[in-house]
Amino acid sequence: MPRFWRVLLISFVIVLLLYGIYFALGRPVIPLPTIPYKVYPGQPLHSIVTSNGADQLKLTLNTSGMVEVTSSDQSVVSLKFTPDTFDNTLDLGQRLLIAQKIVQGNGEVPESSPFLRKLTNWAISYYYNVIRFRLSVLVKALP
Amino acid sequence: MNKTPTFIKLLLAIILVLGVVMVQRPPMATAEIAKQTDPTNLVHIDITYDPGTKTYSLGGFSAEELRQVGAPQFQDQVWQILGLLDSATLKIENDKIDVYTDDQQLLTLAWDKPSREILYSLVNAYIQLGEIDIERAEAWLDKADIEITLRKSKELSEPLQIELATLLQLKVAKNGELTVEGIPIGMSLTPETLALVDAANVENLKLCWNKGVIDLQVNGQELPQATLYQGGLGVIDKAFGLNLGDLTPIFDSSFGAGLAIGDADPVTGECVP
Repeated sequence: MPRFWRVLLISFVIVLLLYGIYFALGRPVIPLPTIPYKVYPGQPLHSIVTSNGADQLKLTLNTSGMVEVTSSDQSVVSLKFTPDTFDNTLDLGQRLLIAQKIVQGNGEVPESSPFLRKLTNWAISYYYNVIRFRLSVLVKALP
Repeated sequence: MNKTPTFIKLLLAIILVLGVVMVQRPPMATAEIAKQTDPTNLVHIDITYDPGTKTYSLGGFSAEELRQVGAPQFQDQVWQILGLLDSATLKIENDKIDVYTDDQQLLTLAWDKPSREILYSLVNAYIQLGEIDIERAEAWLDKADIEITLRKSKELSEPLQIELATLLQLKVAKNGELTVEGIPIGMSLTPETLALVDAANVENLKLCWNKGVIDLQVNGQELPQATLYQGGLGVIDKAFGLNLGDLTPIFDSSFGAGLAIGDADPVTGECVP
């Protein structure tokens, strides 16, 4: 067997093996490093972030179907989604956006791209079902 | 022995093993299934009153909070009657209505379907609100568990308990007029909002609130489930200066509404957690 194919096969087997272990463990959420984001006094977010005295707000996206906003370890609001409910939200948002343009009569009605929509749905479904990540943004209010 | 066949055999073995592993269900937390009970429309209201200061507290809201939202004040005659009582309770449960005063049973009335039909005909005869929709009235009253307690006390009343399985039916007419269970409430959608909803082809909405958990369906399509936390809502309250007050009664309640727009059929189903 040529060396190229052998390397490819071995790589494939390693990936398969690692994913098998990940799957057998119940597809746990893989945490990614938290992204810091600073807000300055005067910015709209600043008053919200500073309202409880903690001066920080954390937005966490869990691709297994959860978006959560916490302030000083206290949950403020959370959203549970599935690929289906996410698709329904996109559908409603798109319809409302088009309706707004029609009603206001200012500007052209945006044309939706079926390819982009399918790609978004596929990505959501992939990160919901296959590999799950947790992405956090820590919003810090500067004095 | 040739190495390649051995390698392929090994590869096939690994794929086979992994295949078996993958077809197994991943370990998942299994939620305890709640006991299925008949959906009930439960409303428990506790009212405390003080004839001395002529103030009352209702459903966990203080006299001051009630005054701010425009709650009615009682006339002196009412206060005189209340001053004679220590407590009074009205209970509607299953097929009877019980009334207690000062912990003594005063009377019991039948509250079965034939009794309710008499009540509907009396209401139709003497109150000019239009014919009662018996089907809707029965949806609300057939499995009602209502308790209203009046207590002479200076303390704050117990929080309101509302758990409604029946959906409140709301309808927006083509001219934007809003009705609740067929009764116009004097509110209407603006023509712009109506045009937006029409252009977006939104025909109906179903909203269920269950102790902070919000389920919303638009045209029968489910949207992501949102959860509001009472403690966390304080952050929003402070940030926007909303002065929401004590929201415990709301966060202890569950109810739902179905909104039909234009010619759309009424939203069916219940809000059962």
